[in-house]
Amino acid sequence: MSALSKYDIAERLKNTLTVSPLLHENQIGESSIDLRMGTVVMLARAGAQSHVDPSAYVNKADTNKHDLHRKKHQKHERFDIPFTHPFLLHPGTLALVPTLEWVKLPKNLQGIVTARSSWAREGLNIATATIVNPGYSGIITLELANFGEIPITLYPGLRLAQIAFYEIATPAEDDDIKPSQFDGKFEPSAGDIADGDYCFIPEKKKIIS
Amino acid sequence: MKAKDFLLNECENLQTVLEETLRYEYGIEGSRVFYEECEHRLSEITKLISVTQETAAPALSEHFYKLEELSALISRIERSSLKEYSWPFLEEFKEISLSACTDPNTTQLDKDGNPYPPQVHVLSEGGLSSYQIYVDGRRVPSRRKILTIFFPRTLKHYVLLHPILGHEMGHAIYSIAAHEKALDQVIKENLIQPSKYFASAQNFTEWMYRNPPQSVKVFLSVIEAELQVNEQNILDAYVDFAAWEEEFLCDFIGLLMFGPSFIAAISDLLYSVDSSGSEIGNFHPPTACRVNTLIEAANILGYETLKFDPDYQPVVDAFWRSIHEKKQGNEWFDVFTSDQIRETLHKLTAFLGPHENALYPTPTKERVQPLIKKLLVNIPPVGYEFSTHQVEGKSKPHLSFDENVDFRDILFAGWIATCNDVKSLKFEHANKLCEYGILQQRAIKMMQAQI
Amino acid sequence: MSIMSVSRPDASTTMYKHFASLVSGYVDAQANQPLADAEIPIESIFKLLEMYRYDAFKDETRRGALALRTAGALTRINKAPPWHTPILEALNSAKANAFGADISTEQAVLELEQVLKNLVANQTLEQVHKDHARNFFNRLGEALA
Repeated sequence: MSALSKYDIAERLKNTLTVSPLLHENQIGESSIDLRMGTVVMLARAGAQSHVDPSAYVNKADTNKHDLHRKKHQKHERFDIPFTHPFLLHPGTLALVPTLEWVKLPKNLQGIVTARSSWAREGLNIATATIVNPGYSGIITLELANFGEIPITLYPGLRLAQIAFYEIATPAEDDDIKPSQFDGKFEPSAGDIADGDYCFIPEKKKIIS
Repeated sequence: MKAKDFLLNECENLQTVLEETLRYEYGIEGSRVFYEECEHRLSEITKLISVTQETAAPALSEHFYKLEELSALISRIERSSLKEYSWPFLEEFKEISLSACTDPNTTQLDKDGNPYPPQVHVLSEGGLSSYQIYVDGRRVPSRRKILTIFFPRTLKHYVLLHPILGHEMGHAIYSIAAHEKALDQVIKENLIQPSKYFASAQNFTEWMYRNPPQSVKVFLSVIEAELQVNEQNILDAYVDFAAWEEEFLCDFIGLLMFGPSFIAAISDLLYSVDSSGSEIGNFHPPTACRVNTLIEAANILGYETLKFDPDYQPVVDAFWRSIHEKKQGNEWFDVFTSDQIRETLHKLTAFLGPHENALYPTPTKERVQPLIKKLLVNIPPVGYEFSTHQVEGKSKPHLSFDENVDFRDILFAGWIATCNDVKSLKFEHANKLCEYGILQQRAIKMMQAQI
Repeated sequence: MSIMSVSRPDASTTMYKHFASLVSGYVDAQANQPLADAEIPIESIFKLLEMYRYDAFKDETRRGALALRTAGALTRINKAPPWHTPILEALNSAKANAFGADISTEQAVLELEQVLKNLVANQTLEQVHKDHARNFFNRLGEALA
């Protein structure tokens, strides 16, 4: 699996790869593309639940519909941040933020999203290196975390992250490209952490269909 | 408690509520101007009540309604927050419309001697028919105008339907006294007086009753049975024809402001309310009359003659077919001639022309086709292309931007893309792509301004 | 269901009478006397003059573009007498009293509006314009019931 160089990225951007729009040529680095912050922030609400529990995602059929939706919608607080408006990310906070760019990967490329080092030195980091699957289409969710000791002011449009591209040795077939739970999304959403692992979650066992 | 004391007490309550609204930031501009304007209005109403005698019942009643209007305004603003609406659409909409609905004659001038534009607040409201722009009445004691824009709660991100606000903006523009006079003149001289159906009350009743379509006959018989409305009294008891004139006017303004996406939006929405197109409204002409007129107007403006490359022409043709399918065939609904419509469009274009960006620029293939292309491959439509060029023998990235892409081009492209027979774009998804495209196009403009 | 019927015969005559009286007083105020509290009465009278100038007195509650019917029911319209009739009579009387019979509405209103703009901008008024304005607004206040 080899990483694409600037030249390779530029060639792919002409036809099979989409990162739209690139607002300035300085977004294209030697082997990555900078990604900008979008205009929505989802913050985990501290008071909404006592702890993260995979078993909460199990047995959806048994869960009262009202409670299911209530838990889902109250877990994160959503903020709309127009351009030139600030958002303050406090220390220890995790925020889900969409990229301004729309990304579309061909079947033979995988993307890896990391923080830009200039922001990392200020304490802002991407909590985990995000993998963007081959064939993905949509905004990318950045999981921003402030590891510093003071709040960081963020503005939509700032280049916070970067995506590098790796060629897949055997491109995925159309049948293999399972739409992930995050495909085609326009804004961040929390995932299903128990998906497919129900047998390992005690007490509430789900029959895997 | 006596009436005057009750009203003065209510003034104090309203002051408390106004201060509580400062807990929130409203819209993009924040709350300062709104707070100061409402505080001034409340202060004035309080003074009015204070100098009114307890025995002056009509005067106190008058003040009651003034207080009620202000109370309603403040409570509406309390519900106005960024989450309630599509702010990317709204910011673009304000840029094309605020100039036209700014009263040119006012004592409220900024330091450069220009009139202040209205303050705009936005919220979503229940009900599909909630699209409205609420404007301060002329008799509301105020310094600066406040516009409140309502979106239906369920449709708040359906940007492809929001062009209907062009019609509502027509009402806001008409609410300015100077504009009312000028626009009345345009409509009466070019549309109504030359019309064989609307030039006089007699012409109107002949049109309405002599040979209407069956669907209209049924409606007329219902209003006769339920309301005792007939040929002799329809213009006194049922139809407010001045309101009908204003509706036709606002349809034209919406079309000139938004272009083809306006016809698509208003015809979808109106026919969802009245699928027969035949309902005779107190204040609204029959839907079919309005839509037929708009289709003819679009033809006169040349929208359909715009040609695209062979890969895209079929989907554009499908869009126009879908528009023409909404034209009612019965000639009864064709209430104006092409010449009348043409003259009216010409005069209204001259009226809106001085207001920057108010008129939708004539669409071009160069602006619209790339947007359609992106939508058909599930990419938000923006005026941006990536290519490479050779610099000293090396291949270098080249980004090209079309800053002329207007958000109304994005909406036009969005409607076209939903007509793709090969792989149809779901309406909800098309709306989301277009909303995101409007947001991204704004970012392009900001970056280009920086460079 | 509302606890009371809400037909609104509001001609705002009390408000305009009060504002006309205030504005008449402002006309005689010295220059560079702050008139921060005067902005609403002045602007309200200005808007009334604009309606008078253009004979544009429509001022109804708007319904939305899709509100084809009132609350789904069929109703007759209620053609109330125009709200502005008594006010228009008062305006005509005030114009005749302050300017005489020969001046057009447009000329009179433009002069009065300039006086109001000068008041807000704290600019000096010419005596003849002050006299016209004072007389006009005094007469307007008297003529409004």
